[in-house]
Amino acid sequence: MSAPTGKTLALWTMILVGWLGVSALLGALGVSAALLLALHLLATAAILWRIARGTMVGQAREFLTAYREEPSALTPYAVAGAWISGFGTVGIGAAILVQGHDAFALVIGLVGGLVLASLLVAPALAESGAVSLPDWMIRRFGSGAGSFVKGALAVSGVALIAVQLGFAALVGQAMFGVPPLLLVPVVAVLVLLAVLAGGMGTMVPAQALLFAILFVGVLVPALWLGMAETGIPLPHLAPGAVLYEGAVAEARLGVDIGGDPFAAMMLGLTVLLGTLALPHTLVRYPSERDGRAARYFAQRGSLLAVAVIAAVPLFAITVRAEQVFAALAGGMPLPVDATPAQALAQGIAILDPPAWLLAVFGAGAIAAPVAACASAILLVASALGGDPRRETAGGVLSRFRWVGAGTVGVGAVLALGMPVDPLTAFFALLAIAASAFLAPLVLSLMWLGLTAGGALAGVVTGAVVCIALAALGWSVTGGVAVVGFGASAVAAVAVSLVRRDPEPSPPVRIPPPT
Amino acid sequence: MMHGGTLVRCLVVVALVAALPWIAALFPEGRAFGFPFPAFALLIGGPLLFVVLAGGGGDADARDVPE
Repeated sequence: MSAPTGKTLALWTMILVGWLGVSALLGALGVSAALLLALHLLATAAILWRIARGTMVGQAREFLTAYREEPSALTPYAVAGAWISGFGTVGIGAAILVQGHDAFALVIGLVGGLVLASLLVAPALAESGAVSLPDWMIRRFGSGAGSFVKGALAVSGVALIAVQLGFAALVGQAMFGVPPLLLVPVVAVLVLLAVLAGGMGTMVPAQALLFAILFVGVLVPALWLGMAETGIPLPHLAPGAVLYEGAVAEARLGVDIGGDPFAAMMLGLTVLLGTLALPHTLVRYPSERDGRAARYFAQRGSLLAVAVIAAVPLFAITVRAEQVFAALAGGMPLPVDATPAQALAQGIAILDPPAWLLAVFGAGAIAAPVAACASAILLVASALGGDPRRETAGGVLSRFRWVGAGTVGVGAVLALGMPVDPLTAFFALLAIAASAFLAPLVLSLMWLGLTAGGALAGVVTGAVVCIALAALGWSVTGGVAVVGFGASAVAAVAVSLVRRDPEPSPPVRIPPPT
Repeated sequence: MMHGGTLVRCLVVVALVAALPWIAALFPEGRAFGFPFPAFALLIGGPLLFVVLAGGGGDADARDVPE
């Protein structure tokens, strides 16, 4: 899809402002927030449908690498949308409400992970010449590793989709009272529209659209809240005054607000290491034109992601401050041990935003997991759909689409039956990704001596250490990821040194920074 | 293989994620841009520093920027 002209951007901006005006009018006329959310999701589906029709492909190879030589001005927006995910929006908000100020470290962890991807992983994978992430791994470790690589990537992708759909369900239930059984299938349809028609060629503009919805969905309500609470028209700076007033009130209540730097550090490192190793965030890079383009896109994506992620804490900080003010004024007890769903529902009750603003936020908070799920589908399809270079009469392309549809179905069922809240599930996913995948990934990019046996030892050791520590009662955000990563790296290096590979892998070139 | 400057930037990012909570805790009474310093370091200062560390990005292909 070609770069948008200034005229196109101006037209879409006017349409967006008009749409927000209509929804505000409907809200003023008494239309409920849930109904307005349904209208937003319907509009999202209509635009995704239009993108899908315009980007349909007829060959499996185009499904994976549509943009290698084409203009791709939308890619940074797509990178940011997939990276932020449900965790970067409603997840961070819920974490701050549940865990307090230590959860601020999640912001630096998430942004830091994206920056590391832009510096290290994105350019290296783009220079590898592979057509997909599984293709690169099989080139790196040999065809004998194929089944294991594909299986691991498929399981990761399905788990990620389940958790992201769980975040969407959390938004629907806690903020709008919509049951997950109703919302999850709708979100699953949006996910399919965002990727199935043309693979990468559909996904990039679709994720860019989803990022635009997410951007407006977070920043417009944040602007309203910041102005209402502090009069500061920049949502990123508004939390300062609220935090200060909240701290004064907490001191008068005798509440200990002293954070735990160790806990905050481990939270940040878990998110940084985990998001860097989640394969859905890597799936795009092998299809980029070259390392310089991949770095450029990832850098621009970092800036866009910061613009959204840094505005999210305002909501949770304001809720917490209002709770403290209420406790100070009326002697009401501060909420303790709330689940993410309870914390979000309490937050909405306290902020009591206009219905149209709540619906806009909901549409943004649902767009984020849809964008992440689209990348995860492409990952699973590329892992299980077959080799696109052996395409015969559309057989591989057809398999890509069936695998993608099946993956969303399985993910939806898992999301509906998930025994824990999506925030806890995502933290667990981050811990196991950092423990099992990160060391083999980084070593495979930086050290030619890493063998297939070494990588396998790293994956198994990291996974076992992570699961064992969690089973012993160690919190998944309390350092499990760091210990698992270390154990995985030691095992990978040791096995590679003991059992040398007779045919070392070709080198990976990482272009220097400009 | 990896350029030395890139490796340093990567290590600085990891070190900052680990160190910022401790640095923030050293100045619990500090203020910055209207924020309590610990919150500013984690919510605004750190992410902006990371964007600077990501650096460069001025070498875009003409095909990759809006017309």
